[in-house]
Amino acid sequence: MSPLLLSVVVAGYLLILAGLAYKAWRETHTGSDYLVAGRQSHPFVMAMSYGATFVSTSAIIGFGGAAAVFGMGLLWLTFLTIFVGIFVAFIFFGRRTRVMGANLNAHTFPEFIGLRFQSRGLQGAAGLLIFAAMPLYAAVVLMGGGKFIAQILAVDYQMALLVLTLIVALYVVMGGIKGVMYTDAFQGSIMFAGMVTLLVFTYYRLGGVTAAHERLTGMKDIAISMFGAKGHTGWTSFPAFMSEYWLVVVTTIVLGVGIGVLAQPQLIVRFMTVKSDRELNRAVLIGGVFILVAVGVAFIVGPLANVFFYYENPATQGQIALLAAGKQVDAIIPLYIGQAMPQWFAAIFMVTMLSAAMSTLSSQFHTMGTSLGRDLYEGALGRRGNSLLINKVAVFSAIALSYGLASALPVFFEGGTAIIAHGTAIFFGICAAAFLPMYFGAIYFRGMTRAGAWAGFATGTLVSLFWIFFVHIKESKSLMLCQALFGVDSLAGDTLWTVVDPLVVALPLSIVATVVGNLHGAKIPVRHLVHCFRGIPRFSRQMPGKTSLPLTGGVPAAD
Amino acid sequence: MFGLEGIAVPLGFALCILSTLACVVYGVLNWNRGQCPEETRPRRAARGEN
Repeated sequence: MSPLLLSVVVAGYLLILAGLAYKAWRETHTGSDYLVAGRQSHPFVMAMSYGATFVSTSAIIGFGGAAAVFGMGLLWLTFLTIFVGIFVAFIFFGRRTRVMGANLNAHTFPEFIGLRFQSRGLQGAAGLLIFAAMPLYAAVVLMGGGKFIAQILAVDYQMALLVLTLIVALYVVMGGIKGVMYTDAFQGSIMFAGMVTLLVFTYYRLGGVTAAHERLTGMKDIAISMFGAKGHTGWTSFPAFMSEYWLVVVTTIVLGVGIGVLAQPQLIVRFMTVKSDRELNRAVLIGGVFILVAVGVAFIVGPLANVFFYYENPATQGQIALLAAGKQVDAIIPLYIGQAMPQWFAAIFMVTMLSAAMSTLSSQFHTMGTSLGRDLYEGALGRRGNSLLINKVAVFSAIALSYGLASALPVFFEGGTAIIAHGTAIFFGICAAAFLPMYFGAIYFRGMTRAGAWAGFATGTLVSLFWIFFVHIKESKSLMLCQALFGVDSLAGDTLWTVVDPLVVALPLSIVATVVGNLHGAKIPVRHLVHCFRGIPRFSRQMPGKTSLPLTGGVPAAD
Repeated sequence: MFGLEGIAVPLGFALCILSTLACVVYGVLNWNRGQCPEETRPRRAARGEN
């Protein structure tokens, strides 16, 4: 790639980011500006920010690489992210979250939960879980971005990591959520254009839509000969039912992320940044189209890379994508871009990947920081001070932690483990199990008790962690705690339970615990419930004209 | 369908397109619904409504 072309593209990109960061910094004066953008976000900014935050390098490099191995069955994840992650999330969760968040004057997801159930303890616990678990997710996204930069620019991984972290840190710390969302909208637009171009070029290069698919279908015997024992049936068909690959694709990738998207704190807070349902309605359209392209393209291009490497590329002829990339799942997409696409596109895609990484990272840093500053320090511990400054310091601490983890992770995980995709799925799974039952209950069930919320949260968290440390072999083997305590890599031995994702076990148990816990404990006072649900109709569809206005103060916590 | 094998993958492909269409249709139909009361009041006042 021409160094001059790359320098011009990257410099232009960074210049625009700097302009947006400056605009955000100028407009951020209060804690509310820093945390929920003063609840005045434009629907385009909100939708693109939601989508760009959700779709990281994980989805493109990590999951695209995983799709090159598992095949187009991963398109089911695209379907779930559009239907569950946008349609259901915005219409059935977003509207109620927005109204209730404004009623309670909540600024973060843990604060929303804490105020709804009148529990500072719950707010602190949710904040602690986010602050403890999200660094792994942020670290793998950082890794994805760092690896891509290192590969394309042929620079040291650690150097790439440091520069990437510093750039994102600058606009998140200074501009808060406005800095995050403005840059997200710009970065999301680049991602959209980059992914559309990638799809068109790939199909063009491989002979058209149907011809490309047929060529990939024709490689079925190769897939079966290499991975047939694990359930692979070809790259254009689904893995064999209940095989190892089927369980990984369905439980970890499709359900883990597709359901987990509903309970992501960094996405939920987006609902609280808009002022009315109209913005959410408009965001459904924008978000749906964005996610189709941003997620779907990676899951089509990844498998099709096999055709390119096997037939079209002289240097890798006779090799499937995984082998061409030296068995490094996360290197497949960057290698494909480098060898299959024209040089100018590599520069564009470089910026696309930077955008994907930075848009997700910025939200993760912001969410982790606000969990530490707003939810733990100010909320659970009840400390007072300059809220803006406290949250800036907390965001900076979260960034330093993620950077340290991303520096160390490659030492512990080999490249072939698809750590980026798995790290993302783990976080999504933990969030779903810990948060989804109480979040759903918080916005739909007036009779839900604090005990029910605690029971679901604790069960979901503990079962997820138990499964990760002692059963799900992908993690339990690397974490080595199971080996140290019991002398085996997984308590499930050689059974298929070792590849079943924590979410599949933890979420049902969390739901049961929420229901059982709800039978106990004191009811939330009716006066508080009336306050929480003001503007939310009981059983009919939302009535726009009756939407409540934001209140100035939250309800004090009971504990 | 489109050179894809079996039922599950073509179905997933079709559902991706259909769910996106659902988002587009919903967004278009509700484009101007759900605005805040403070936005509508000035317009009503301008029309002489109460």
